[in-house]
Amino acid sequence: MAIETDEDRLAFFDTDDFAFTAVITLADTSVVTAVGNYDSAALTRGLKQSNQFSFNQGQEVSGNKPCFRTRTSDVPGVRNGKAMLVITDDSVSPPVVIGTFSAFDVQHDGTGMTEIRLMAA
Amino acid sequence: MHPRKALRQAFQTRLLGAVTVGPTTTYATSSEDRVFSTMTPPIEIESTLANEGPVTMVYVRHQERREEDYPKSREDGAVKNRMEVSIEVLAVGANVDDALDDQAELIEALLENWEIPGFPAADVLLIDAQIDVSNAQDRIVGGLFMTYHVNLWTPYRTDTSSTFLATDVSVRTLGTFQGQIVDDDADEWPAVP
Repeated sequence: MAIETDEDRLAFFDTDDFAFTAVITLADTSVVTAVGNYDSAALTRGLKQSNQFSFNQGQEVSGNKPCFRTRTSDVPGVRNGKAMLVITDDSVSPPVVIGTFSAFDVQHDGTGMTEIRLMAA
Repeated sequence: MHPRKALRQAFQTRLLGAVTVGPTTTYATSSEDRVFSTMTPPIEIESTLANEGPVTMVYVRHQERREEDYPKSREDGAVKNRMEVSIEVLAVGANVDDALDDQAELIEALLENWEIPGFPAADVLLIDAQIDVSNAQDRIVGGLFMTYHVNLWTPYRTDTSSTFLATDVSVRTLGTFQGQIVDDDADEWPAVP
């Protein structure tokens, strides 16, 4: 028995407060809209290499790791590399477009929530 | 100038390949003027790699001299320096593998028949090349890592008036023979031939 419903989950995504809206264009050009949490944490990492000749190579690169977390029922047709998302902050007037992304990695957590890792389009 | 520094700067100049005609400067690779002979702060994906283009870095990470690399007399000659030069290229984009392989082709061509200024007898040998791609951030980031071995020769104890020799002579030597130092410590100092 589910301990929560999609309606319950919607309480986490209040666009007047902290949630964002994603307009998602699918591979078949159909468009769906989802509400969810957008985050873009800073991430600095290096492509470290080593071999028998060189003990360490790899300059660090700083960037971000954006993701969009929403209800699984809102994104049924979103597949890895097969959807474009335009994410908007509706809590301000007029709404601000955060960016356009491709869905790089769609991760369903099995409890009714989905996290989509985003790549800059 | 230390040979490592000279080598880094020579590689940087070679990989820049800047040619200025009138108001226009062209460069040898798609890294254009973003060729550095040093570590830099972390490179920003958006402002640098996405907006400007690839970045190339040159390091001399290792220098080795073996005993046989010194002149047999240990005086008045040239010493062989075994340098390890790392070249890194970073780029972003959907076709980052192609971009990096194209860069590798250019770099290999630039260095294959290159006579290093100031070191005309140096060997420049590509030893290893690796490509890695990361998808951990908001763009696909690719890295090309090339390792060159450079064997070059620098003067060794050719100046008998140097501070090093003058100090040494005053402390350790018994005299000279045919211009060679005769010392009193055979364990630490090679015998005079």
